[in-house]
Amino acid sequence: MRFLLRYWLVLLGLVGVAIAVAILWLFFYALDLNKTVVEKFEGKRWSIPSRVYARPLELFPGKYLNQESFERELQTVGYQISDDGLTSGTYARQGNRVTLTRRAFKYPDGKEPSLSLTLSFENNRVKMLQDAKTGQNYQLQRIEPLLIANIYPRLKEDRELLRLQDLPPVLVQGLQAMEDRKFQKHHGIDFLGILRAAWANLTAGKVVQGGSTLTQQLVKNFYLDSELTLERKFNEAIMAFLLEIQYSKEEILEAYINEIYMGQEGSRSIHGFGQAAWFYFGKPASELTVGESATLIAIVPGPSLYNPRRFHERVQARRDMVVDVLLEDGLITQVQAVQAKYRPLKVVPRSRLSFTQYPAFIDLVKQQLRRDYKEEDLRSDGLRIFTSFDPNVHYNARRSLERQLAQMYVRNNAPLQAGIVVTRRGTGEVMTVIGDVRPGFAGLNRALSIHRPVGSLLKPAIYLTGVEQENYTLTTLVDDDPIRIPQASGQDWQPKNYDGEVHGNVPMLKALAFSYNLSAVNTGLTLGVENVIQTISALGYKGEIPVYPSVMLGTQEMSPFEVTQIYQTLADDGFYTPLRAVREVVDSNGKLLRRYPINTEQRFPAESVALIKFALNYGLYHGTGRSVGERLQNKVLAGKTGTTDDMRDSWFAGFGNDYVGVVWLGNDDNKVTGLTGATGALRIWGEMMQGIALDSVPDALPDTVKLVGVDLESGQLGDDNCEHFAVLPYKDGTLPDEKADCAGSDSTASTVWEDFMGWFQ
Amino acid sequence: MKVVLGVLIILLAACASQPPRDEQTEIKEPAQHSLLIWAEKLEAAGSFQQSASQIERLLRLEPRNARAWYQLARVHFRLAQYKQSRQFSLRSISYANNDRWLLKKNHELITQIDEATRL
Repeated sequence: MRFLLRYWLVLLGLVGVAIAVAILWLFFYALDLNKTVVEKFEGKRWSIPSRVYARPLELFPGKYLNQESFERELQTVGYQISDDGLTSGTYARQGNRVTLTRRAFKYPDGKEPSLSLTLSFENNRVKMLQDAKTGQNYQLQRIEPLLIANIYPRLKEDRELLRLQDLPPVLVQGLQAMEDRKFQKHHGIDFLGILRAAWANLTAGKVVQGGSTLTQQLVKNFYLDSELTLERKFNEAIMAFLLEIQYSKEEILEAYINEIYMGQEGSRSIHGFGQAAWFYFGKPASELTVGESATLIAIVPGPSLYNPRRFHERVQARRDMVVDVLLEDGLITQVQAVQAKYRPLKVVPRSRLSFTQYPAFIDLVKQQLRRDYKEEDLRSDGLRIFTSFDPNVHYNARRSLERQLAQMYVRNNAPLQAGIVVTRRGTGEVMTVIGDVRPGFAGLNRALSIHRPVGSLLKPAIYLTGVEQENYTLTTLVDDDPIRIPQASGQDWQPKNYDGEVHGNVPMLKALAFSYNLSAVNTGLTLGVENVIQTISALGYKGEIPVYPSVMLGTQEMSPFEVTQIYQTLADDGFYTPLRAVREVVDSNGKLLRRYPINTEQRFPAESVALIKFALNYGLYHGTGRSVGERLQNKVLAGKTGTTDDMRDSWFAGFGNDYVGVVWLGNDDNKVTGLTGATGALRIWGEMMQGIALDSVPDALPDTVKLVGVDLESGQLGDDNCEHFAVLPYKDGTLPDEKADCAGSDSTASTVWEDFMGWFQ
Repeated sequence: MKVVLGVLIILLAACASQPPRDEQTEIKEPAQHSLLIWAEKLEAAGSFQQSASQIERLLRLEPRNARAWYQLARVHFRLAQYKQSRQFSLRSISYANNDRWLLKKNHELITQIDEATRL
């Protein structure tokens, strides 16, 4: 008996020790787990992709903008048409008036609130801009920019971090009602809930209910792998408890709504309600309706089981069930419930944001950012990158490319490739880059990465050298006679004109406008090859150019982007302005990290460039560009065709009042295209400019340049008696002073342009 | 006929030219005007970077606004970025045409830059 008692006592003692050891172990085990819990919860919880934005659309009375492209842009940014346009993210049209409510947006220079605006349009311009509610006139407002790309973390988790207050309350409360009724009361684990779920599953013979609290679900997703073991379940419970005793319910809930897995698109996984709202409804979470909130809650238990794009009816049924619960709990009114259920489940088409639709432009953005940011930071720090991308310019470039290529395909029966760059005159900001004829196709970027002979595109540099160095005027005669240049190979180089003819002495204007090769080579040799190369570099080309006479005919290989930089300097009146795609980079808290400011440097006097601009304008309308120029009479455009040997590359580079654009067409394998600059690239360029160049007021000439009526043949003062009469710009000090033979005796031929205008009227 | 078209394009250029102005004139376009006023305020408050950023916004609306280029030159002068300041000023001059007031301001600024860089 005593033996038995002692036995029990020893046993009891042992059990006591075991329990004490177990508690101690549990304590240290929990302490260890807690390190993980705290570290991750308080550290950087998630890798957030960087967001790349287009430029915001600036609206002001007088702005050149047509209504059609304005509405198209609203749709691109995700605006939906509505009756009155008075709710955030919607717009309504009434004739030439548009009413919209823009979304609140945090710009690098400050946050701007949501605002209802009414605009009217007239003659391709904004006529009126006012507050849709108060009628107050505005001088300037902007529409939030289009998100054009995400730079994802390696695991491609996509999420938008939200605060609880950014969500409709019904979504937050509804989530708890459906997933964890006792969330506000329990300490991480709901034992009754587990028992209830176990019983329900047992009687049903399968898993019909989960007993996990929101906290446990968060722990599972946040800290643990998805393996279903006892040990993991055990850790989950302890960690849930640890979270609960250290953090508030709000903090836990906020982490949950940002962590929760909500769907998949290819390799990109959608996490959190913020991103899910964009993914399924194309709008920020704050704008979700009751029905849409209910849909998101319905998706939570199984984003593939309840994928609204695949299982429409199943999801709609579950959404309606959620709505019922919301009503039962008094979270919504009867009317709201009926409305929510009445509306069919509507999700936006699969977003293609997993891959940007504008990969060529994003290449440029990354190239610019690479100097200042590590790839890893771009992928994980949730940076917001503001660029100059212009969706309207892109649309026009893409559309003209497609339409013109379709026609060329019919004619030439060969697929072609293309590279296009469009920039803004003045600021050098890049509006769009197209690197492939297939929209959205990432890969070889033919605007940035291919280098092809540029043909006649460098001829303006030859004549600019002449204007600068030798005071050439547009009527200076240049030599278009045959030339033979001995080469190291032993074979002479004998350039020829495109038309095979020899034109003798021609005015510089014609030599450039008609792109005569012999004139170019002769003039370039007269001025000195090195000097011409120096001009090309000063115009903004950074590469090395070997000193060969063939440079005059564009044997130098350049990318469309490099050509754009050269023409930017011409368009900007001799001011070199480095091309830029990024305006600002802001961190995830909205702090401005870096601004990429405008830069400029005068490389040529405006008066010299004015002559070249005139010749390029003349060339488009009367020279090599006239086949397309004829149809652009209502625009003020200028540019140069480029064609290479056997028609392998078709180029056009030029500018209007607002934009500089360069188009290259060719084949990846360098096969013959059968296209000249004029029959290929120019057609695309012309149609594109027709769409985007709305401002048709020509540049004022510099004060030091005068317009003079001359006889083009002799370069002397002329009048309308002369067969080849033209009014041309001359730099001060280079004006012709003799009267041409063809001019009448009582002629106005000695006068400069101000008087001439009187004559014309 | 072809030549006459060339003439037409040039005649249009005439309209862009304005009579000489000796006094400071306000920018006519309200949007540009409001941005310039805002930029000037920021400059006066010593927020030069923010001021520059608003002027750049203006230049995006109207790249050949001579006043804006001058303002940008002035802000960069305040930032002691003399090389840039001079270039912006030169650009302002190239668009200023008959605005003698603005030309004078630019020449004054360039003199100041010369003095500052000589030191």
